[in-house]
Amino acid sequence: MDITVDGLRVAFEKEGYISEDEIIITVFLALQLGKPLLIEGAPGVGKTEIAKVLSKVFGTELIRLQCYEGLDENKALYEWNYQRQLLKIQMTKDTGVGGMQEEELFSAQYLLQRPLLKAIQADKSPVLLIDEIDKTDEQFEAFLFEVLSDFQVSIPEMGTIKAKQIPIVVLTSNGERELSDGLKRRCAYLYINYPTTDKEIRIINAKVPQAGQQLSAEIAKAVSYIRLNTEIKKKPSIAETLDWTRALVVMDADRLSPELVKQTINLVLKNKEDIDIFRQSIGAAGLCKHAHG
Amino acid sequence: MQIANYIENHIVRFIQVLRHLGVRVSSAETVEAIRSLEHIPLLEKQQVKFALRAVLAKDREAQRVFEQAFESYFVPLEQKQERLEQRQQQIQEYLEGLNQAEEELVFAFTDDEDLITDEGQETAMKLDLTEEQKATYAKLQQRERKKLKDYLKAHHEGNDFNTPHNLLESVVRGQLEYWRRKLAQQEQEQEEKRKPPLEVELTGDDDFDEVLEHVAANLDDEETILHEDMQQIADKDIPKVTLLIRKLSRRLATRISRRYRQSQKKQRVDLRRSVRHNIRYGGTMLELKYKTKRVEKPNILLICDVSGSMARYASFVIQFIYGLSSVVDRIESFIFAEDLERVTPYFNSSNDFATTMAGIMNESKQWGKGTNLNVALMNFNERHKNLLNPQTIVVIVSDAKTIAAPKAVDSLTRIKGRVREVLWLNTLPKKEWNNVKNIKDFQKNSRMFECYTLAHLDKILRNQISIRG
Repeated sequence: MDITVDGLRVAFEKEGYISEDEIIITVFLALQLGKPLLIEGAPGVGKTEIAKVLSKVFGTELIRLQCYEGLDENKALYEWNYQRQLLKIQMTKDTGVGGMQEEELFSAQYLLQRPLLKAIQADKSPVLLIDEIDKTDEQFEAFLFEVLSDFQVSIPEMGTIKAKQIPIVVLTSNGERELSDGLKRRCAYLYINYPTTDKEIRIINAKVPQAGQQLSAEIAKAVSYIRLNTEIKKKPSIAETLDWTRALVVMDADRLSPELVKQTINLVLKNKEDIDIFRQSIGAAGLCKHAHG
Repeated sequence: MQIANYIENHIVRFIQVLRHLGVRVSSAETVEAIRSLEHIPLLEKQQVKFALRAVLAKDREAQRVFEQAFESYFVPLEQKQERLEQRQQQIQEYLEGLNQAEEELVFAFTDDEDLITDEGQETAMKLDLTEEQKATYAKLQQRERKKLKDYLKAHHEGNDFNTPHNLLESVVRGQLEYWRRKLAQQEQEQEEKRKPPLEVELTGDDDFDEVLEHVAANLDDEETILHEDMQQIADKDIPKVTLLIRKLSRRLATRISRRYRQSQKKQRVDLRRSVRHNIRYGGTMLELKYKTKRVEKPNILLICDVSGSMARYASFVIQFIYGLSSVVDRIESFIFAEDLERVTPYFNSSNDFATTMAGIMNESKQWGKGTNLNVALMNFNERHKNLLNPQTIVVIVSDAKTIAAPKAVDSLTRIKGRVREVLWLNTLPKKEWNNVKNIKDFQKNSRMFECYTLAHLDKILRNQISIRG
């Protein structure tokens, strides 16, 4: 793949993804070494976004496999369209037209492609996003890293299907459980932390340019203060920062004021317990003081 | 070529440093680290760091160690030389201190000091001291040293025969032991010297050891506390520990309370439901229904030793369980020393941890008493037998130092027969287990783990308390 670190940085910025060297270099290396990229970090720091941006940068399809408890190979790789096969058998039986070969029943038209198979069969190397891998169980993980190391799939009724192009693979994890060493060994690893205040200001400027410098800076400072200094359960994500900014822009705000914070804090903190903790520990006035300072 | 080799050598040595610090790096990853540098300008230190980190350190903890190891290893040559010299000087001073202790702490057989130095062995007999005791002597103030020397001299003066050497020796050892503890305490209070957070095994290779020590001494606080013996955690660190425990217990809680769903693959077709459901399609089996198996989440039963020697550990373990209880149901907690007390109701109230803990400590009759595990387990068998079932995981936290141990083993056997598993978190380091009687018998009836740091506690609970379907 013909890319450079600087080229990648520019391309990411063009797509509105503000990132520092750490992220760019790791992504660059994963691409160069042809390895899957495993991204960990708290929810809402922009892990999934990297895959989306990559698909835009390379002008290629984004195939997403959303993981959940109980996800199995059928849902991830392929499944026979059982109902359709059954209908076909019934129809042949009822109409009595021609004999039916078994191979016909197990041909491509009865195969339901799930994301992994789709990624392997794509003509142009797609971006395969395996989201929240930590939600699956260990068995699925083991199956996955077999697919990821060979990039070929065996379907007993059809034979082995080899990848036409090696996809760009991005795996994300919220760190709910530790991933196996085997999987980690096969990936390049990136940990994304909550952004620094400066970075968050740049993100706000890029995504909500209508917000003035003053407001962006105050919002970034306030959110960062909430993340670091309270014991809330769900720390505000970048998306929530942006939602808050948009709301404040709609309300014609050019600075944070205690009144505005009180009215809009529920866009940043999304459960009652967290809002109570915020009120008790910092309060709207306190937050504004830190944001202005 | 030479330069290429030079770089490869350095990377391999650096990876060895990482391995010594507990980061697992495979050979394939070593090759990849070297390959990755082909794509990065080698003069850009930051870029090299990010590249190596991406392929060598694959979780947060490993990345933290990596950060420090990289900064300690890849330093300008002069700085490295300076650190090396500094280290050698420290070793030299340390050895000199030991020598000095050996020379000064002797039984002299004569008043004539000249003779002692001139004729060495014949007139002076060295005390049998450990290296640690000698090092303690070297750290003492001049005044204290003199006191010890004078003491030896005064009680030995001219008395070549009939001298209770052993007695004098043990008095000196006792004194040095006292000073060792006192100095350690002072150091901790003054924070002059922090205990290295990471216990590293030195290799004997100066180049290596210097880096290892530098990394160990500079890792950040959270790591320190995680690996520190819970008994040693200073009071001022308690708020930090509380936060850390909350974080750990919450992480474990999400794991236990997750709604596990069985993968369809493992299920069997439920013929009855399938037939009934497919009647609407004229009996053609269009949609299959599967039998679902109930997922068993464990019931956790904590029995925590709060006797004198265990109280400090217990407060941390209970704090951990408190964090879990707030999210996960079905945790029953008991404390014991001379008898057993149920503390679950305290956890179910909505009080914060400090209030809860104060409540337990004030009302409990057990806190800080002696240990009788047998009475505790017997009473448990009598009064709370209903809590034991095949889904229960019993977690015992104790140093296994109890009276009536053989009877306790019997009681434990009875409990073990009724539950899924008994985990024993032993706050004694594994190497000391042999010194405790009956520990082997307890091990036969439980899976015993050493558990004297928060890192141990977190790891055991995470790995052992599993969900099965």
